[in-house]
Amino acid sequence: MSRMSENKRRIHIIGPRVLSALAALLLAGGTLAGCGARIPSADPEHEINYYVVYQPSDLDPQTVFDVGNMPIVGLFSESVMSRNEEGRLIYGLADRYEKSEDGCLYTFHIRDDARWSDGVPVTAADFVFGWQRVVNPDTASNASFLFLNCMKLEGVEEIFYQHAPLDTLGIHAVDDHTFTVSLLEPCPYLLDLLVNNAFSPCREDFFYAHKGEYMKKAGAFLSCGAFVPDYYEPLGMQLHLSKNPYYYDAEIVQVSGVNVQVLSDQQQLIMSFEKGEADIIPISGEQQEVAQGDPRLTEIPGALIYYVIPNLDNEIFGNRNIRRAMALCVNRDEIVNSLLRAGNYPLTRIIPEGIVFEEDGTDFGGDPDQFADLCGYQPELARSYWEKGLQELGITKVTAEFLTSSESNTFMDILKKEWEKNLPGFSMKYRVVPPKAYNQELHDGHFDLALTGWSADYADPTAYLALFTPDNYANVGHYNSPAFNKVFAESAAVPLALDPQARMEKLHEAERILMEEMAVIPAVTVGEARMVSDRVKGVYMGALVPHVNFKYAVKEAK
Amino acid sequence: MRKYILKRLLISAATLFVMLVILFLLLELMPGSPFNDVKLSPEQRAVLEAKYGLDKPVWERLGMYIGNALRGDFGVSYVLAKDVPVSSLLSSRVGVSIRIGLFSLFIGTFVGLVIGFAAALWQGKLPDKIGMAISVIGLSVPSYVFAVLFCYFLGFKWKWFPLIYDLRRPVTSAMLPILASGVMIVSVIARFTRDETLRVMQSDYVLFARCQGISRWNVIINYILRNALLPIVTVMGSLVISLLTGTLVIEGMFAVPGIGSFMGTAISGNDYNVILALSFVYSVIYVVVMLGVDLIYGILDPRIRIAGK
Repeated sequence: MSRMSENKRRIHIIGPRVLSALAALLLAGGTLAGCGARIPSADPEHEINYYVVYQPSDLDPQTVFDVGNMPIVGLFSESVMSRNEEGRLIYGLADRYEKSEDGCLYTFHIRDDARWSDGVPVTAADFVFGWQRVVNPDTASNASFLFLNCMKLEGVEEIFYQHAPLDTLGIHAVDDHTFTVSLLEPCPYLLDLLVNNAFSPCREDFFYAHKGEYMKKAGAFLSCGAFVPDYYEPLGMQLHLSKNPYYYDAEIVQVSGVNVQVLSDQQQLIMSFEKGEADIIPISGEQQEVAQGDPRLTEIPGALIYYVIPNLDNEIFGNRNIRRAMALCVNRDEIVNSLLRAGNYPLTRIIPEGIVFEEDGTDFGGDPDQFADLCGYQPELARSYWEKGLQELGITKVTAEFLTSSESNTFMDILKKEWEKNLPGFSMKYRVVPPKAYNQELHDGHFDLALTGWSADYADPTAYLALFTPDNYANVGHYNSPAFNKVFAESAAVPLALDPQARMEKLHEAERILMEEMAVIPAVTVGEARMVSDRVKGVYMGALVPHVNFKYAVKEAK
Repeated sequence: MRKYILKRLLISAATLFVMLVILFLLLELMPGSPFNDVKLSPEQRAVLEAKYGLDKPVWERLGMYIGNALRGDFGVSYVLAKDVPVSSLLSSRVGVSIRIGLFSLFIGTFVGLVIGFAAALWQGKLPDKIGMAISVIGLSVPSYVFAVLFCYFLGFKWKWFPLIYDLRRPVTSAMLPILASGVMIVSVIARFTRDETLRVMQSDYVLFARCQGISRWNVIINYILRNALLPIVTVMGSLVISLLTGTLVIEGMFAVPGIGSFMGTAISGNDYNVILALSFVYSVIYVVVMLGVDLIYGILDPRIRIAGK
């Protein structure tokens, strides 16, 4: 075979193979490019790249009720009330309201320039439809908690539990711009509660035109807030919102849009932030060491409190001296400084600092050391209570079972270490159950001790104190104190319900009873820490709904 | 051959059916409810469970589920993407995972083949040593570590590629996840190719061809390469499976909206329908890959066809 024909043969063999490999690569490249989506972005330079850990799972304002989704829903939904850049209560879609003398009838007036993102005016009927959707059992909204447990709205229980007609709900449109809210009992914190997205309006014609897809894909979003989502895939990693041109305060909104990116990997988050791809990132306790002293590290106080629940049905933990002893040797500083870090604070009371403000502006939980004598770290004092408790019970040893849903229990390990070190005869073992079975185990009372959390949905002491009423479902430790029940009931009834200052004094009394009886053992207030770029200013990030607000934000050019 | 294919198809279908039933029952055995919010009272939870039919007996639900699944309806998500049909959640995600997976398979196989051949042809020399060092490192170090290194150097320090997957830049932002999952493929293919090539090079027919006076490169391309390539089909099957499990970590790290990152969220959210459908998709991919390997082998190796009769 001549050399030439050999070469030809080689080309003949290799040619098609190389060509087909190249074609395959090109095809793969093409399909890769095809994965892209058209994310509208008018002015990326003035857009905020907001990185979050939790994947948005539901963006329907009437059904969302969790801390992962609410901050995002808050960007495009608003109710009659809202919060300013400092987190203080201001009017939202309403510009005034009237309250009846008995505190049971509210009349809200919708502002004239309130419009939906398609330019159609927001009407009272939209509010009526929105509220009816939440309490309709067919909607199966988690946010029904706010309507069923946080206020006594007329007709709500009959609708939710007995399928009564929706128009029996205590919200009625008087005219296009006015609606009334009828309550069975006064609700002193109603205005604050109404900031929640579940109380925002929902337009019936739009909802039915997009039934099945409402708030589930771009084009099926209708916003009455500062921004409007224009790219969204359920459970996607990216969500894009643009400025809503019809928003009543559109003039003061300076950022052109918000690009929400889901990312859970901490190293990637930090690199994205340092590279300038991200403007705001969450930063976990372990990673905060790299950000120590960095002025861009921002602490966001939380409304979430963590506490140890003793099972009061258990004879040992039903003993007040035993509980007091345990509360006095919880090393909260160690938990915060070595584990949780920025954004988290030791908690030695029930109402945390910076959440609830009284009429005169006083912070209800402003004195973190108010109950330090009952709950501060005092191992010596703890031992005396412990011995007293053991004597009363006639025992010398206590073995406790701590219910947990995690194999990694650094938090509980700190508690265990201190208790076993300071309380003679005390030993503790963990009982680990799957996370989704955890709440059931708690409710069934299958525990001696458990660590759990509770977050306030509105800025009022009752957002926490109601947990300890005997009929509250979340009162899993079965705390039932006649003294507390009496004081709490008085605070909720007329005349105190209509006298804000006297009511607050009563609620201070209620908190003191809880602390003296050590109904639960407070541990920490859990907040968050985020890194915020130097270029971004005026972002509200707070403990209460809407949690994040870019309405007043500015992003400076590079 | 037709009988062989039919038999394989039937076995695969039966496997998938049994898998679906087992998955359903396993999820049933897991304690807890998808509606697990501490703030929900038992009455509120009962309303939610009734809405999604979770209050019905297990056998009734199993029957309904399988009936619907056969029609392509995997129900709706309860928790993760409330009321969104699971099939639509999956369809957008499966594509991204498959595209990125295929691309790393293509690139990884190509690079692996080149390294493997070079190592075999220059056995004991520098290309062999470098190639095998790459292969050993690639096999022994988890792809997560490579992902971190690539991110730091290629994404952060030198700014060649975006750090995470960005739908606005689907090609450049897919490079880091492709590279990260491609390392394992390069290593496996390189090692396998080297061994196979050496085996073929020592065979009698290669010696015979060389004795006939056929040029070295002609022997390499037409005798060695072709025969060494065939057994690689076997590794490809298991590589696709490793790629699938690898996506669980890689996708989460690069925020790729694929099925890997989805699985973890679904399990922790206790979203029954999503977990079921996702596990089913994984099973389908596994069974299809295995079926493909069986069939290709059947075509390549007549002995298997005969044994299958």
